[in-house]
Amino acid sequence: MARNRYNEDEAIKYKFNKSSLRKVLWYVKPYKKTVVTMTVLMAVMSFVALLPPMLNTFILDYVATGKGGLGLSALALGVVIVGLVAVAVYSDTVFTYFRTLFMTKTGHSIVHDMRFKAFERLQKFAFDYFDNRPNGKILARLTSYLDEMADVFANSFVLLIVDMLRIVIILIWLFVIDFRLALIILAAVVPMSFVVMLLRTVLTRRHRVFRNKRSNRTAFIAENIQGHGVVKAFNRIDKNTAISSELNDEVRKSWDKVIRVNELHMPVMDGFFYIGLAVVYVVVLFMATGTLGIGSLTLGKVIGFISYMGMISGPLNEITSIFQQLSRATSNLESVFDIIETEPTVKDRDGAEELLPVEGNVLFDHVYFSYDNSRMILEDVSFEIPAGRSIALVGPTGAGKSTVVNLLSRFYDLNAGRILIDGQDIAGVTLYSLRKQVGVMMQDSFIFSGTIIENIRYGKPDATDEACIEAARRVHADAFIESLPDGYYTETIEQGAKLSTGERQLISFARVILTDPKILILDEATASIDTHTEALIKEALDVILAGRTSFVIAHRLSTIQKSDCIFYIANKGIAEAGTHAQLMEKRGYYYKLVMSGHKELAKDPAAQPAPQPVPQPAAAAEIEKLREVV
Amino acid sequence: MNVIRKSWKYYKRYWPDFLLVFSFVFIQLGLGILMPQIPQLIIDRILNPALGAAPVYSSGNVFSFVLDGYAPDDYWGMLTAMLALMLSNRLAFYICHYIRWNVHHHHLMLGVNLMRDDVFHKMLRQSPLILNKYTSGNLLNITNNDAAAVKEMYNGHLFFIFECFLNVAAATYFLSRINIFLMIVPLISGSVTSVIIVFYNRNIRKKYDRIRDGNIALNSCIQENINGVRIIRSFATERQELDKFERRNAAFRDNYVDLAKTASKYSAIFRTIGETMGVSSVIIGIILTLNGFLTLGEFATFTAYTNTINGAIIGMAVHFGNLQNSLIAGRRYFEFMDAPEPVKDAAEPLPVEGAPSFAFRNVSVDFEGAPVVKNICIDLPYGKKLGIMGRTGSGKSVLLKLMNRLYDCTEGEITVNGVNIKEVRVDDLRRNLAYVMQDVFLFSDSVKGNIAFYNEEASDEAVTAAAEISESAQFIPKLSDGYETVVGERGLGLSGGQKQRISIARALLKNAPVILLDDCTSALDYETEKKITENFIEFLDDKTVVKVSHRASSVQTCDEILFLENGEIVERGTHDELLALDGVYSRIYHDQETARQEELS
Repeated sequence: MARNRYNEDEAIKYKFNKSSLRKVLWYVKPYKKTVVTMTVLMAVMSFVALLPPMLNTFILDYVATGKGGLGLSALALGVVIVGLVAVAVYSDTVFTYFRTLFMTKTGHSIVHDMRFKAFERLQKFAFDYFDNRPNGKILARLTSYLDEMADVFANSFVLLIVDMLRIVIILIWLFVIDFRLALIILAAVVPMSFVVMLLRTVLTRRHRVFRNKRSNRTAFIAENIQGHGVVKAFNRIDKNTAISSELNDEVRKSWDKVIRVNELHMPVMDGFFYIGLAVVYVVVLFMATGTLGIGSLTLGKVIGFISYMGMISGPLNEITSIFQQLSRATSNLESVFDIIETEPTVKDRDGAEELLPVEGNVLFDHVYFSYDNSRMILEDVSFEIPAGRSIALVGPTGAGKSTVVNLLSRFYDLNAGRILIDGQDIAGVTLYSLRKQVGVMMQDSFIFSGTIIENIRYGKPDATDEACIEAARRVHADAFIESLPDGYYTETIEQGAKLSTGERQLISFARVILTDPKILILDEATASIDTHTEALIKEALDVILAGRTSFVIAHRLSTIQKSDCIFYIANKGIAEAGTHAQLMEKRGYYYKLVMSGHKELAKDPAAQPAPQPVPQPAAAAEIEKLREVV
Repeated sequence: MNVIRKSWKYYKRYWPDFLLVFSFVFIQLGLGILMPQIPQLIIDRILNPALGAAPVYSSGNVFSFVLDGYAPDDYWGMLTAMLALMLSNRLAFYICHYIRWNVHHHHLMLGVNLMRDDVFHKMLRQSPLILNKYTSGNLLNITNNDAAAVKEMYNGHLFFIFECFLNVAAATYFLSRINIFLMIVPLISGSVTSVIIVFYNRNIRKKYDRIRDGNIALNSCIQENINGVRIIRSFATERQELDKFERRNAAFRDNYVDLAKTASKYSAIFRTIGETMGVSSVIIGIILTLNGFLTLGEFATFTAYTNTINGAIIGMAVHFGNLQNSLIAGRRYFEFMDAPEPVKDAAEPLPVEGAPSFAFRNVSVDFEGAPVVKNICIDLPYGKKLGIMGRTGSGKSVLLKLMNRLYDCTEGEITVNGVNIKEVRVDDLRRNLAYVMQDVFLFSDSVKGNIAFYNEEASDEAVTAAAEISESAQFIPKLSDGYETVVGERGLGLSGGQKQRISIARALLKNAPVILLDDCTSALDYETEKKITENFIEFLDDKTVVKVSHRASSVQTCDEILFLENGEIVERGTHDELLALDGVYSRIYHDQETARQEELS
């Protein structure tokens, strides 16, 4: 799959359909009780809310006219009715209070559960998922898009049910008052629903574009926050601001398009309502004048009918805005479900077993591997390493040294062949049990926010402070850590921005050592560490590596000479293998590699031509000149 | 109010459009408030008489005059007129609605984009020392979300509050037209509500503050998880990460529940006030009607207006609460925007003319009181090759960052062609420096796009040339799409050595007179490193080169070598002089030399 970048819309494969609705309901299920209770209560309350206008009719017909009724004087009837109105409205308030509380909780709980599911799935993805899209785009799906949905879950669903119920009840009531008038209203609802559905389809599509444009922007901003130093150093501040501005503008344009459809909802829904109302007036007049001979009405009934009709507009407006929200929610849900529904490329097999505590025998059995299924990185690689041996991997950058060790931790699956540890195929054991026994020190030394000691403890949360400090001591990280203002308890901010690259490497090193793995992989573990510390580590390395199977990738050859075996990785496999002495003897790739380092060393500094200040030529010409020479 | 004033600057330029929106709001308000008058007439003058009662002539009704031209029993004529009035009222209402919201949203987005551009530019300009005080989640919130939250103020809250206010005023006015005493109840409840709103705002603000902090914590946690995915997978700490995440995820939910508690409590209070007003209005209405002060139609109208007022008061309270969220976001936004920039152009910045010669004069840097480099003096005439060595954390990188003015020194000065670099235009200064950082950061763009980062218009030939000098030319064509291969953020998918070489190519294509190399070949094998060094000698011959390295072999050809320890230069001189000095450098050189010899043996 091609990698996505900030200025390209991400193709979200997941499309909302009928089964998605079922999936949504699955998240609602744990809160079924609350939702059902609230819906029922709300339905009851909508009846109660109907009381006041109904009572108003009474007031108009019997109280305000001074007639009185039900054996009561006008005043007494008035007191009773007003009392009833008061009870109705106050109980509605109390109910609304509880509803808001419970439904907010439910809405945010559902969002919480979805976020948890999505994050949990994220923990299962192999590196490819993260390599294939900017981080900001993943982040946006788990944060802003989900956040926007809490309200939908909190209110929209329940309100939608209740509002529809309300409309049905009002319609029934209208039928009771006068079925002929009610039919007119019903006739308006049908074409209205059709138009609204049409709007929704278009709107969801436009929301998708809007969401993608937002993702692009978030990705760009997130990336620039991470790389602001490069942006500064390369004088790109204004240029990148212009790009950001352009991305903003694309968001705006896509939003304008959303609005153009979105704001049609109100006119459509309200319009149909008023056309229906106009027809009702006409028919009422027909009845009143007796022109058509379709019977007559009392004034109270007419006012009652019209005020009940008026009550449809409340739920109708609410349904309008729910429909608007749902289009956005649909598009957002797609991006979240896309994460939850994506299968990780590397995962535990069905019935995967625990990798039993290992000694550290490693066997590569006719291993074939390619990152993209087209260009083979390793072809038919086989080797066996008895427990406790140290292996060094050398060779040109990009030849596949890191790939070999990445396969051992099963960061990627093989195209063919097997890798066995102590006779157990690593493809058949759980990733957790495998990776807990294979310690890797990566090229990128990532530091988490927290204290230094927390970072060292990262791989073994139950380690004591003493054990952590001891691990730091073993890799000679203690000297610099102790010189920090709070020593081991110094807070590092994200990615250790205040530590130097070498210091971060030392912490990462201590972190791996602490986990005491039987198989240890050091991928350029000391590249950025100064020579003095490196020399100390080199001495300590013998002790560190003792009793473990180790794979060491290093460009500083001095680090690896003592290895039991050196693999020279090139041409999709192991081009040469042997001890330092054997390979020097052989005078092959390795010999050449060593000698090239040596020659550079022997170069005479005096042979350098003296520097001459020259005016700056134009960039293109300069490079052109360089190219000729190259 | 500060936030409103400052943010208004961004929206001010669209004032004619907002005025248009406002006038549409007024028109809509008028149209809406006139609507109940129509059914009143239909009932009192058409349907009621048609059913046999006497027509009621209400002087207060604004549309009475329309019907005055008709014969009292011309029911169809009057109904046609009224329905025409009603439907045209609605049609006008919809047109206003549609234009209003389209214009409004369009300009809100324009305004918020101006705010976004500004904060993004500020973020890029701001010194790393200040940016480092924020977590990246916080920075992302400020640059990505806060402006949008402020926008909501202009989108809804302020408008709605205004609209509600107008609704109350208009409805109260129409009530007074019917009977002056009908105004009393709305006035009392309105003033009680406004007092409570003050308390409400204070309470709700704290909740929103908590939500914002929780949001940042959650975002940072997810971001860290994504960025650190390699470590997490290798240590198999997914469960641990899930726990860490879950704490924040749950807190995020709880913060909202907490907000809902406060909000719904106050909302219940506001509703109770509104409802009490409604009920008492009905009582007053009945009494007035019974005593002949109101007609039946007027009574119906009266009830409708009381409901309008009731709804408006509740709405106003809710929007005042929501407004607090915008104000909090706005405060954070402007805090960031108004923060001083330690590194910025002087009032009248000088250009850098000709070949730049740099010099450090007694330069010292403190980070929050802790000295990082002390009393550094370096002469760097144009063309000089300077090597810097030293222990991890001894301040080597700091010297390069100082030259770039990523931050400034606390004492002493750095000069370029005799002028303090604080006096020259920052952009000019940085144009003279090609800086290869120790931490490689590549953008999620093609390889070519990354190399041509400084000059996007660079020709393919130039890009290839830079790739060749940095020894990237041999591996790039082998990538799946060659130079067009998109590399992930931070260059994921490339090996460490490949990333380093691309970042070198990127700096080379900048073609600046001074090149700063910060330990940029650490992940390369000897052969490649040697080739690059040779290429440099050949092509960077006339340029100033400052090279930080741990290997004596890569700095030994330099004109001067500095050895740093705890931020101080402890040894300096040429390779030969340092060997003669027989100090740290000499020891490291001999150690590395011996190691090399051993390899050969």
